[in-house]
Amino acid sequence: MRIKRNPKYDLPASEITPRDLYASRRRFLKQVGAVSAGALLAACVPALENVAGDPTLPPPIGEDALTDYAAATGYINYYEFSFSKEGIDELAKDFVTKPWQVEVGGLVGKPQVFTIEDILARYEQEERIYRMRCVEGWSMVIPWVGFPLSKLLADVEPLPEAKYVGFETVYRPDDMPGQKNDMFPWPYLEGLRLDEAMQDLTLLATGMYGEPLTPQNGAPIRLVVPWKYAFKNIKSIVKIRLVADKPVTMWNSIAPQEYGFYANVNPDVDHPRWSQASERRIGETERRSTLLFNGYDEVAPLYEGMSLVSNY
Amino acid sequence: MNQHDLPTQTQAAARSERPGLSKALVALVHAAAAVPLLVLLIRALGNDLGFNPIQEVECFTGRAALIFLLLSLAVTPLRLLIKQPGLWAMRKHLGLYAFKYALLHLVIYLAVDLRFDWRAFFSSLFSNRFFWVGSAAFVILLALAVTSIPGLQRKMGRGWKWLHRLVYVAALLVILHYAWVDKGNLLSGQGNLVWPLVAGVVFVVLMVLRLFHDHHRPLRQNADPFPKP
Repeated sequence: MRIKRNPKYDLPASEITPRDLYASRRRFLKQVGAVSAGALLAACVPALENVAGDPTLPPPIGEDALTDYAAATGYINYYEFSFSKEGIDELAKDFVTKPWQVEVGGLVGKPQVFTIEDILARYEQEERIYRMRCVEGWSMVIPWVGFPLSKLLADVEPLPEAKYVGFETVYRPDDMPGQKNDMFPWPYLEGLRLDEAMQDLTLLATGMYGEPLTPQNGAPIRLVVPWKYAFKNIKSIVKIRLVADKPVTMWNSIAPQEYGFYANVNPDVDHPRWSQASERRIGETERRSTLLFNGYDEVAPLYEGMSLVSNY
Repeated sequence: MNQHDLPTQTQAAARSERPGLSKALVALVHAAAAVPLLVLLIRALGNDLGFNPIQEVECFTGRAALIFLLLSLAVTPLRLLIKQPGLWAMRKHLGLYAFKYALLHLVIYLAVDLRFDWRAFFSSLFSNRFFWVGSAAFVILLALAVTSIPGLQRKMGRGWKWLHRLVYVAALLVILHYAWVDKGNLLSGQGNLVWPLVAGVVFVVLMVLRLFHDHHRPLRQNADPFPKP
């Protein structure tokens, strides 16, 4: 897969050093003494430059580091396979994602059906390192591979009446055992306001950690909206529809008081059953404070004049 | 409940005809109570608590508390099947283990998860129904555990009996707390509710079985623990 690095979307360089690298760097710093450490490290460990922009500085304590690949591919909410967050990799390992088509239609000038090969060939794939915050109170930092949803939407030419975008996960109950559970209105549905969908942060991801998406992570194509709770990040998408009215979304239809349409990460708006003020980064033991919009302040203008409390 | 639950009679019954059986059943409870703790220790030592170990330990100890609470409520209905006064001795210990696992659950939440962030603890307590329901259940279990001291039982007389009826409220609150952990909607029955529903069904079945309990029979049975078939 061709992957373009887009440094604009990386978390600050110091924040994304993989844990093992910066841990060994810390040890090394202690050994050689802090004064000369910078110069020495720059010479001794050139490989670090690939990961962090400035290898001479250790990341500040409490900053973001990439989540271990094993955790990001092993600790997942994907109810189509299981209620348990662990073991989805095993359940999904034979899930067939080829051939795959994504139908894009609704209020558009040029409705189209894309094969996954079309998508990979047509849209340059770039890496973006995003924080991901689950509504349940845990978070990760994941290097996604994908492209802005806005590029695909521009190609289908939304009509002026289109105000929202609806997404649908594939419905294959024979291959996804969870979809046989009648306690859920399958298939999984999600949605965004059109301006949210056009925001440059909003990604259609086809890979992570420089590799194609694994089945358990939503292969072959999924949504990533880093300032929203991760249940908005619908997996294994087969349909995208532009519509005039707010589309039905699955968790909102199940428990509307608990899972809003917007679902913007917000430490000041608690889930009715638990606090959203803090989160546990997977791999860490101490909780960290949750940030408004998950730290992506650039999306604030989308919600100007709107109550974030009533539009949770 | 019935007269038979009066502590003096309970103890008398436990002491009565087959103290050996009673002791064996209590030993069985102690052994069973060690199992979850051992499993947890083995998993912790084997680094087998998953990617979110603190939460896993919280859930695990919570489930253990619920299971022991339901087991303690199963003793009275069990007497319909096995007419053994020795069973009574199990009930108190099962209830106490439910309290001990609930205490462990709370301590881990407060000390390991929140690291004694009391502000977060109290803001959750008052704003989130999930927390106050769990906390209310804990307060009840605490009161029942404290008043299970034998001397106190006798001193409190009928008050003790009334107080200990709160165990049913505690069980309901714990099941609600459990149902609110996962993403779902109790009113519409949608979402991830399978295990809380199982717990709820077990609770209802145990309550219904109680209705068939003959309030007068136990006294006669104490007099004749080995009825001819």
